[in-house]
Parts: sequence; structure tokens; C-alpha cells
Amino acid sequence: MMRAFMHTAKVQMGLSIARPMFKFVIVVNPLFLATLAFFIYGGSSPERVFQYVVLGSGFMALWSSIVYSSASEVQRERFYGTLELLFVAPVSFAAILIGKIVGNMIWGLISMVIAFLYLVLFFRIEVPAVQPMLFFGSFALVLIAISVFSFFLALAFTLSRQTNALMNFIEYPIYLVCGFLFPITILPDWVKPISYLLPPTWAIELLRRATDENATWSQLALPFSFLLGLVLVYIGFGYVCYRAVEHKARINGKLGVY
Amino acid sequence: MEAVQRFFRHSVLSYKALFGWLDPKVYIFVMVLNPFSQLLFFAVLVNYVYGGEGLAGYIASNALLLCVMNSVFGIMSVITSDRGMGTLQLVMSTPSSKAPLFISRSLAHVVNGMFTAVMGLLFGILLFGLSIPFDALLSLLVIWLVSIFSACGLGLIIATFCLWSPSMHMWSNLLASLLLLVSGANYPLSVMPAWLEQVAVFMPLTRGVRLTKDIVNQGDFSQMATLLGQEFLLGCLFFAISLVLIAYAEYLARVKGTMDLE
Repeated sequence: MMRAFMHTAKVQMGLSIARPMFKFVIVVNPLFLATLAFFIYGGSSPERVFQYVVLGSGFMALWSSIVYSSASEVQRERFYGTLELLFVAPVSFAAILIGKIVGNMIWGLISMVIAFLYLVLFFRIEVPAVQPMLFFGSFALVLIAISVFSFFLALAFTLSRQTNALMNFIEYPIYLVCGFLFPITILPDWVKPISYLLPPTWAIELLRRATDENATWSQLALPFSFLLGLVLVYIGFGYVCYRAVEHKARINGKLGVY
Repeated sequence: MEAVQRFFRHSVLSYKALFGWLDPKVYIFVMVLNPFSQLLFFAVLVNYVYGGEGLAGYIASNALLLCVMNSVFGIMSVITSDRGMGTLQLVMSTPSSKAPLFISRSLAHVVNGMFTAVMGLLFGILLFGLSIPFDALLSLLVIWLVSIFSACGLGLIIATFCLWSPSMHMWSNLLASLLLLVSGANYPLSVMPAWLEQVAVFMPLTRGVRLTKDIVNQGDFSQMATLLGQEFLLGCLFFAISLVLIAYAEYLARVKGTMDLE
């Protein structure tokens, strides 16, 4: 199982980056997003620039990479005609799908790093002295949360017949509702509950607090707890969707049908 | 007269055939909800960062941006849709002149882009409670038409790449990102570095966005004739280049055998 998982992640990395559009999303898009965010926030304080330009555009790059890879991964296999083969393989389909998501997540991480280095080196943005334990602990949870959310999205999109339309649609609403480039406190009250139910909202909030020079565990407790809770909830949602896809495949025989 | 009728008939028919109009859900997601969410995101962002200063200008500029992107993407999707449906070789081998053929197939997308932009502008105005004077609306219509003309010229140039490159999505997204960044629709033009200003001079939309902001925010029409003239000439230049490139791309597609590559 572990071997299949590792190989899937490795093969997925090669398959994803072979697509010119994904190359653009990983390498070029972060530069555009970072530049645009910097121009918009150019006159703000260094703290604000770091929180909204560096973290915000890095997260936008990560989210774009997920939208153009993991969210549509099952649909892509369906298009290639290989979905049925993966589904009947002796290794669990869930392990293969998680391997694919991890492979894509590594590219998303590289995309974030490209945005970060570009802003720091090219625009000379000041980087706060973060506390390594707090930052890397939070960052690990953020990556797990985004992976679980991607797993849920990939399966939820598989159940829909409008994967491509949803894939094209979902990018900006998440930027907006999850407050990647601004605090969600400015959003209307009726939108906030939606924001609170989405893991990216707490993920970016956690990173903003974790990159504060004077951050303490108690300051991180709220976003950390909510994010951890949402990870568990979305694992549950992911499991339900997985069973629904399996049901569709075995009972209705409609796995490879659009 | 028959030729003109055929031009418009072809435009409507190809739009219905190639855009998947049979399914309104796809249309609503791609052409209504997606542009609206983009406009809303940038409107909320600039409203927060600039404290509401010049918000009407930013919303109108973003509506223009959406309009141009829809038009340009439409032009590009004409070639890739034909390729996806296996009809590109038939289209390219017809004895008709390719330039009017592609322009007529793009026309419905331009009209569609205008519709989305007007809807987007109304949406932004209603949501943020803004007001734009009636005379400004008429000027905006003229500015937007010239900007679309110019951007479609550049779009047609990029669309010719699709005859020899299988990566249409990459080219179209590259162009969209470039227009989003360089147009200055979401930040004051004063923050743009000098080197980027030099690039912006040769990009469509830069002048359209500047005029839109000037007219909506300050009621300043003084630069309209000069900048619109420049934008129109730029559009003519793009179309002239695209006509040469269509012929060259057609030749490349035949020689490299890449016309049907996905």
C-alpha cells in the first residue's frame, strides 16, 4: 500500500508537470499573482504587506494549483479512460487518489515558494523572524487540511456532471470567501458562516498568526482547533463521497460515464 | 447583401455549435458566475485597501476587463472547439478567406462579452450603491468597443498559436494574466514601475482602463480623443499582424502536422 502510494505521488508529479497549463500555474502564475498583490498593497505597512501580499498570494498560488490539478484529477482519469482500471486495481483507489493529491500538493508548495522568493528577492519585502516550532507546526496542519479538502473536492466533483464548469468557477469564490487577500471581517455577515466552514479560511488565518514575531501557542489555539476540527469533518465528508462514487461505480456502472 | 447575411448567420451558427449552448448550466457557471465572482473579489479587495476611494472607476475597469477577456477567450476557443470536435481541418481547407471566417465566428463572443460586462457593471453598481452619470455611460460604451476591437486583434494573434501549439489554455491564461496585471484595473497607475509602463504602452486595455477611471471618477474627458485614437491604431496594427500570422500558422500547421493535436 505504502509503495503504491509513494509511486503514485511520484508518477503524478511527472504527469501533472507534463501539462503546459500546469507548468504555467506552478511557475508563471505565482509571479503574476504576487506582482498584482504587491501593486495593490504597495503603500501599506511591512506587516500588512507580509500578511496579505506574501501569505495571500502564496495561498492563491497554492489554491490555483489545486483547482487545476487535484480537484479535477478523477475527472481527468475519466477523460483518459483509465479511471476504471485504477478503480479495479488491487491497491485501494483511495490510496491512489491520496498519492495523486500529495504529488500535486508538492507542486503547490513549490508554487508557494516561488511566490515567496520572488517577492522577497525582487521587491525586497521584509520577512518577520518567525518562531520555527510554531510556524512549521502550523504549516504542517495547513498542508494536511488542504490535502483533505482536495480529496473531498476531487470526489465531490466526480459525482457532478459539470466538473469542468465547477473547476473554472471555484477559483475566485474561494479567494473571496476565505479572505486570501483581506480579512474576512470585512465581508457581509451572511457570508461569514460560509467562510468559517471552509478549511482555507482557518488555514490562512493560522499562518497569519503563526508568522507574527510575538506569536504564542494560546494565540494560535483558536484557528488551530477550528482547522483541526474541520479536517476531521472533511475526512467524514470525503468518506461519504468516496462511498457514493464506489456505489455509482459498482451498482449503477456509471463510473466512466460523463 | 448575401455576403453580409452569410457573415452574421455564420457567426450565430458557429456560436451555437461550438460553445455548448445546449447546456445553460455551463453558460451560467462560465460566463456569468465566474466573471461576477472575479469582479466581486477585486471590488471587495480595492474597497478594503483604498478605503472606497475611486471604487466606481475600479468596478467599471474590472467590468471592461471581463468584457475583453470574454471576447478574447471566445476568439481563442473558436479554434480549439473546432479542433476538439474534429472539424478544424475542414474549416482550414475551405476555399473561403480565413480572416473574415474567424472574425465572423468571433463576433457573437464579442457581443456576449459586452453583455457580461454590462451585467457585471450593473451588479457592481447595485451592490456597492454607486452612481455613474448617463453621459459617462455613452462614452464608456465607445471606449469599451474600441478596447474590445484592440484586444480582439491581440487575441487573434494568440489564437493563431493554437494552430501549431496544443496548449491553448496556457496561451489564453497567459494573456489573461498579462492583461489583468498590466491594464492597471486594480491599482493606481502611479505604482506601476517605469519598465512595466513601457510594456503597457503596447498592450490593449491600458488606455481603455485609464479613460474609464478618468471619466467615472473625475468626469475628465480631456484625453478621450487622443487615447482612443491610439487604441484604435494599436488594434489595426494587431489585426494586420494577425492576418499575416494566420497564413503563416496555417502553413506551419500543415508542415508540422499539428492541426489536430490536443
